[in-house]
Amino acid sequence: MCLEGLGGADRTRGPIWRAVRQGDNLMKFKMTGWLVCVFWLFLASLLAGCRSVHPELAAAFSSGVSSTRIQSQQAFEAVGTMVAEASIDYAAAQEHLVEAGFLIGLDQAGVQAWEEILEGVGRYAQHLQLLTEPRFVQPFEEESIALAGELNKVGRHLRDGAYPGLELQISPAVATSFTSLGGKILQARAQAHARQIIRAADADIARICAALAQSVGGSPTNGLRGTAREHWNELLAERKVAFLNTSALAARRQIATAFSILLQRRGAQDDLLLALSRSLLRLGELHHALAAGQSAPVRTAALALEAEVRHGRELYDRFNLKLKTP
Amino acid sequence: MNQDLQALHEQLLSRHQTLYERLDNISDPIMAQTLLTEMREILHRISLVQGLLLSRTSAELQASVEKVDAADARLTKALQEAQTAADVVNGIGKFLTVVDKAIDLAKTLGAALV
Repeated sequence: MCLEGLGGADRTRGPIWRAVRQGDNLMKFKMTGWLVCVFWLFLASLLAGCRSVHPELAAAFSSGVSSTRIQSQQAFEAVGTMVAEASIDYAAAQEHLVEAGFLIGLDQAGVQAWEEILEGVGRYAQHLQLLTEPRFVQPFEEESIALAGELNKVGRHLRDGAYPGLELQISPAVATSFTSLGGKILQARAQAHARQIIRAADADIARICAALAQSVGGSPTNGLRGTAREHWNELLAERKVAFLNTSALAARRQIATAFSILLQRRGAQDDLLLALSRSLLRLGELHHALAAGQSAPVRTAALALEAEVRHGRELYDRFNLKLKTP
Repeated sequence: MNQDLQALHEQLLSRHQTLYERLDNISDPIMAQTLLTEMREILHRISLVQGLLLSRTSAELQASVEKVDAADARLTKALQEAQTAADVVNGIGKFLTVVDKAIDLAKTLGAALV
């Protein structure tokens, strides 16, 4: 095919398409050079991919948020049951039975606010996941879409052997790469876009996770951990007073046994809340690793969070078992 | 988190813990029962404040929590000097009156997100 033979339709398809359709040696030479450029472009897009957000990593964050949310619901349920019980004890000790004396578990507004926060973080995580999934990529700039489309066409054209003269110069792998390159460019753009969002949101996510972890409690004597601990102390105090009022050794031994069981439960519940607090901090670390854009630290942080959540689930099961033990 | 309510929460936790530990040194059953009853009163406030930790704060609430600081210092002195169960009830009752004002104020401010 000669240069003069180019139709008007080809003019609108861009230089790559035209180059493939043209068959003279000069164009073959140009085509080989262009392929080298494409190779470097391909490498560059892969490198850009390393600095961007892989869908699998965004999914790990989303899954981490869901697990932490379930973990917090379980932890709150356990504390809520105890608060409700203590509320009945409090009401029973009052002169009059008044509604204000009752707390149905933890304060509902507080629990709802907590839920709303984690739900918001969850929605954000889902959004990131969608943004990094190639099948959900929305059109970005027309230019990149046109380029991607053009590369795909070239790839298909080369793969199908439509231009026999180039067969010796192009390996099948490179031809296939053309087809995927367009998709990769779109994906890299979407992932780079996701990373921009993650970087912008990182300080906020860190602040939210730290604030939630802080409200669970940095030590056994503050936050929700402090509240839970003092509820157990109240139950322990009742045994102390009962002990003081009893002189028979057998009865005292019974009280001491109950005291010992309560001490174990207090420890078990604090472990449960500590695990939740750690999960929240790990979630913040996972997001920070995502923002840094390197896969290995993200995977490490995701594994650490997963281990923390699993540990929390085991503690929750053990805690429930302890409660069932008389 | 609301820093003022967080401070109030920690103050109540600390006060409850102090009374709990105080039980170890008491051999009078009436005094012990009194302390237990007062602990229950404080615990109820702990649960209330726990649910308000994500509430908004205000200058008024801040001032109210500062008054709790002063009341806590007075309670420490009152408990050191308490000779009878009535003295304990009286001291803690005064402290809780100030605490309740701060809690009522916090309840009117409504919930906010972190």
